[in-house]
Amino acid sequence: MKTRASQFSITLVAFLLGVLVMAQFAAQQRMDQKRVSASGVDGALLISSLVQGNARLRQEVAELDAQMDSYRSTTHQTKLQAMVDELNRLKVFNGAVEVYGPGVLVTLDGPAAVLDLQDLLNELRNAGAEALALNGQRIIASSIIEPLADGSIAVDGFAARRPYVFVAIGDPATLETALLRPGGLLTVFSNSRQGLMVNVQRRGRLTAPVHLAAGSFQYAVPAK
Amino acid sequence: MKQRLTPANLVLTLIAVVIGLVLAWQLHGPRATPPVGYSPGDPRDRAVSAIEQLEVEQSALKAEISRLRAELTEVQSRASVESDRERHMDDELDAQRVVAGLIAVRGPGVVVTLDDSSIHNIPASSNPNDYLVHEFDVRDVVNVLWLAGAEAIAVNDERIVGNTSVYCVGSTVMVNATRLSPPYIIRAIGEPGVLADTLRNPSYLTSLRQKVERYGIKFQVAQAAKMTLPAYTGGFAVKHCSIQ
Repeated sequence: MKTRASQFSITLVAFLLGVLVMAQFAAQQRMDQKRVSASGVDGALLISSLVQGNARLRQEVAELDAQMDSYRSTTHQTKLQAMVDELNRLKVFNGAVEVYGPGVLVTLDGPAAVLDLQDLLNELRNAGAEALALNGQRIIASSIIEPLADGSIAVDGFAARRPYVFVAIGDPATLETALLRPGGLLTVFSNSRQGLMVNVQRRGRLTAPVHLAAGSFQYAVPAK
Repeated sequence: MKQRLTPANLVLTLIAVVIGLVLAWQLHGPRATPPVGYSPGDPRDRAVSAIEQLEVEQSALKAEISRLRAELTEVQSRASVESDRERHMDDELDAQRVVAGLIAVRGPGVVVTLDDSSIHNIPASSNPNDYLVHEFDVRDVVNVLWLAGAEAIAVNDERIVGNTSVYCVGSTVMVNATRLSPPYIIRAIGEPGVLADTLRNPSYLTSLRQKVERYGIKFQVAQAAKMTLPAYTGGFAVKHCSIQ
């Protein structure tokens, strides 16, 4: 290679080539990280989770489509009713109104730690609970279970003593089956959390009270 | 054009050919390779395709929900102009949507990163599972953030709402029935100093801190002046609930 110009252009081209190759490897690696584990049981469980999840998403699409239909109606009353219904749906979801309905009553007794109560709430949500309460306190997304100095427990600031009574409103059979499934949390409790006693009962009518909410957001604002 | 076959020309030609091949590879795009080369007909190959198909559907359904919610918000505003009562209801709908997590929010807070250990030589006596972040680690961090006063939380772009569950299938973490991969980025809006201090309080997250020390699990907390958390794009059926 005789001239500085040709040396320079070869170096530049080689550099660009290096950048391209590294970018490609990085992209391939990010893709591989999301690799699916399809081994036997895990694959089947993942599929059934996704199937159930998609069924719930379709229900929501159907709900929203029905609302849209109401707004296409010419009657003002129909539109107003749709708004009232959606407002109520949101308030129920947010714990802003007391509700009643069928579901399961789950009683937990024994030396339960805060983590056990948090895990059981997670399990109830996973099972499809529509409204939750613990020892008479409505549970919402941001509900807090914390240990108190004297060794007891507080739910959203209210003292709670054992036995811990969970109200979960929803389809009783579905909730019970999900809770009692092999490998679920209750199986883990009976295998490895000695002394914990759990009881699940279907009920025709349970009540979840209104959540005694704190004030409005101070840091989070709608992003527009 | 008369070109001489010089070493410089040869090198340039070779590099040009390689660039061409790499560009062709890039344009083809990185492929989602199955973990092992399952042959068609192997049930695990069908399982991988089924999972991919279900996730494509999941994305499409979430996008449809987002689209419908945006349209409905618009339509509801236009339908509620006739009286003060209606305008008040429209305002209430907006407020309840924000509380529910159906609206993207922004604000200051913290970014927590949880990742698997990068230690590769795992001693034979150790359990490889200890070197991975599990769903309870993610759950525990989320619970401490609520305790610290967080107003909104998202894990890898899945917003945590009233019916959100964090669970695992094998070693895969699911949030809102959506498969997530490490690193798990947990973002929370609130007072950054208070959130960070609570996360560092040795009374909380003891199991996670042990895993950091013993197994090299990664756990980092950074304050952020401004973040945007996405809206929840799932459903919230309340069909069994009646109002008094």
